[in-house]
Amino acid sequence: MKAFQSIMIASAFAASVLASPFASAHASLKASDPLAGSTVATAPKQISLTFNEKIEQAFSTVTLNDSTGKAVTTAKAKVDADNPAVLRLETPTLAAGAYTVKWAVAGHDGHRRTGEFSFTVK
Amino acid sequence: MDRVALLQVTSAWLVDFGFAWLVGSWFGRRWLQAANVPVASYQEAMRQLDLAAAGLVIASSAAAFWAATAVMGGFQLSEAGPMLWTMLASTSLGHAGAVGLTAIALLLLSRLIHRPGRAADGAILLLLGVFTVTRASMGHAGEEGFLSMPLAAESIHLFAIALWVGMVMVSGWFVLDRAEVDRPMMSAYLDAMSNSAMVAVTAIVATGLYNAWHRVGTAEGLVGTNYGITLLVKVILVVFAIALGGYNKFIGLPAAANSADGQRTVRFVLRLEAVAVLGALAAAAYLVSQQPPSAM
Repeated sequence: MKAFQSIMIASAFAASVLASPFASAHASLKASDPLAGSTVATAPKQISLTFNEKIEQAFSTVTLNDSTGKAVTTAKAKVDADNPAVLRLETPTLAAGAYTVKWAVAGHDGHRRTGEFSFTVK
Repeated sequence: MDRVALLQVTSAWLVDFGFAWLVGSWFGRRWLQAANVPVASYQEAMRQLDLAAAGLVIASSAAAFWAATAVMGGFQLSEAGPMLWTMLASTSLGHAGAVGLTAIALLLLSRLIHRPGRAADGAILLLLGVFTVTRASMGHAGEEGFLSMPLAAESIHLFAIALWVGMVMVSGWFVLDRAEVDRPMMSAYLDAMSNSAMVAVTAIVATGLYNAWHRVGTAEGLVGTNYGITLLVKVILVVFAIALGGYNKFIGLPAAANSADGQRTVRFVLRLEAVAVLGALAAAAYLVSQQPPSAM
């Protein structure tokens, strides 16, 4: 029954390998400027989002809404030419108030992630 | 599962299925040759099946691109059409997919032209290799460039899986159905196949270990989620298939060398193994479409 034993050992070994979930990094937001939840003294000229991996320009969007939910710009977010993990949105001059940034990006592996955060201009 | 996810999972599974058949039939031809089975008895039938498999890979790849476009843009399927070209032309996933699709189209062409020989064999193996590497590069293994260990490991992993799935399908549903092949020849074929299966499963485990180590996953949140249940089903199917393969290697094959009954048992076990690994591939396709719980 040596053969049977080696089958069972091989099976258990294979199971432990294949059971390891591929909890690899999908595109997620690492940092932002302005920071999420922050209050800034001077209005930012752009929103800058840094992800943990390269993102796809054609499938990535950022929208900026004011406190009434109205979009403050129709500009399109652009991927930074030097760092493809950074997405920027040029903003018009922002009045004092609360703003919400909504983002949706597709990563290298084709998975889509979305998120939002707020900041306040003093 | 919504329609986008359903198309994504189904098309990925069909691509895997067709590709596995192509890999299995390439190696199956070698073992048939090594066992001195007359080429005329299988060549034309295998060519026809390869044409069907390559056609399936091409059609399901097109469907997979459509689904991928919808996933990346957060669209419904009906809205994704206009963005399909953008996806192929401007994203890493699209570029890799286009190269892989071209490789399989060339393979189809080569089987259509049909000039058997070493050059054609070599070219087809190369095309299968190109397809494997592009498919491996679509995941996270591709992030570190084309000359990296993670991509090499993932490529070997995918090719070994296709070899394993393909060889049990081709053997169980094609080779062992050939009544004209006598028993000593069939035994020689099965021995060659079984040795390659051992190499393939070892490669799957070794590269799987490397992948797991490289990606550093954690199992938190798996219990009670669809992801966790599917992963469990996948593991059970793989273990079941390995056990069946082990049964055939150590018990089935020696019996098949002595009797027609033994040969029929081996064929039945191979078919069961094929169903199990195809089920595991379906589970894997579903897992790829999902976010792992720890990444949410």
